[in-house]
Amino acid sequence: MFKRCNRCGATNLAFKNRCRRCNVKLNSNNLLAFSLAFCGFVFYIPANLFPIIETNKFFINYTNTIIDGILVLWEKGDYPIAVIVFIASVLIPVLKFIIIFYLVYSIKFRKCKNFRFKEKLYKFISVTGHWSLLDVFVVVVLSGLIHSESIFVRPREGALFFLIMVIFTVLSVMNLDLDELGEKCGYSRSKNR
Amino acid sequence: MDLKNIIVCSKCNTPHKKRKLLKNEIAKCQVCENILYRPFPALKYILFSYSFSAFIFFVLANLYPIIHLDVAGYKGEFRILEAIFYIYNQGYVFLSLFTLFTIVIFPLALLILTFVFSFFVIIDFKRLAKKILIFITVLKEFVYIDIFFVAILVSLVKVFEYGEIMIDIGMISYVVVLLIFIYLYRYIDIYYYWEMVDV
Repeated sequence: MFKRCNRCGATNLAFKNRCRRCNVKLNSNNLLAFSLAFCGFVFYIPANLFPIIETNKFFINYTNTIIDGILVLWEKGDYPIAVIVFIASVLIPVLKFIIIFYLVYSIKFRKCKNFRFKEKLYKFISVTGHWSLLDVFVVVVLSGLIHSESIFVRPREGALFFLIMVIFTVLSVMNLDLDELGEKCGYSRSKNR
Repeated sequence: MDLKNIIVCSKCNTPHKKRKLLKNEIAKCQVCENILYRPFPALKYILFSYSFSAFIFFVLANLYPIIHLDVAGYKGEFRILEAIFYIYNQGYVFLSLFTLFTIVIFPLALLILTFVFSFFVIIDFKRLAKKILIFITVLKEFVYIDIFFVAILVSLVKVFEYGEIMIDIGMISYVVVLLIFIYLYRYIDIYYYWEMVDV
């Protein structure tokens, strides 16, 4: 009977297409969400293969991929930072892809089992998704901090691929709508209770 | 049936009838006990003063250096805008523009819009305030200064052992801006902003 607008929280009649208050579309496009996530996945591969950062110390060049950077931190004994970067740059993106594909699959094929768990997964990717930008911003900060002729840090192409991947996945999550699955499964929760 | 007087629980979608709350009351969902709404009596004044304060600190955070670094004779400093221009000059145009928009332009626009929005609400000019709020609602999703702050801390840990690090006025200002941002756009749900202009 009623539908809550995800953007402004207004109460709308369930059959309305747009929110009465902020005019945003009430029904999201899950196919678009899938397409965006797939594009993000395509960019995730070069993001891990190409170096993300280049360090030059007295004319000796090093390049690091995301995984290299984490291993260097771990070997140096910076375990908490290594774990934070690992979670933000590796674990969250991978989990995000798995969750988005799983949710789109569930919506498309009306897989109603564990709906509450799916809601939690959706909330997880909505909250943590953009934290994958952490590694990109670390590169930006280090580049801005250290840039002389003899010592400098520069971003490399991996950072760009990674950034594009995060943008695609953030947009994908914005377009994902679990309410559609709720309605299909009879969890149109206001009716259900 | 007036939809303005009905609130749907964000967790379980159960509709409830709204009523005015007393100062320390919190409205909870009857079914799942999720918080539906709480009173924010002086919200328009909070937005007005906090957004103005954050604006001043944001300007300081961008004008002054955030960190100073001293590594074996090399003295470096980190300023947000300089870092962005450096990356731009290295040929990473997209990366620099993305950083510029999400770390500088969008937060600045958000603060200015919030200030103008609260001003229009105070003078009871709600139709225009509503139009501004549409921009605020969209922009707040693309402001990443919290992630950027954590990135600064991670970078500090990475360069910590190589030399001496000093934090500057920019860093202190940035922390203040960050705290105000968290309060205005993370702690206070955008729903309460919309409730002020639901005419």
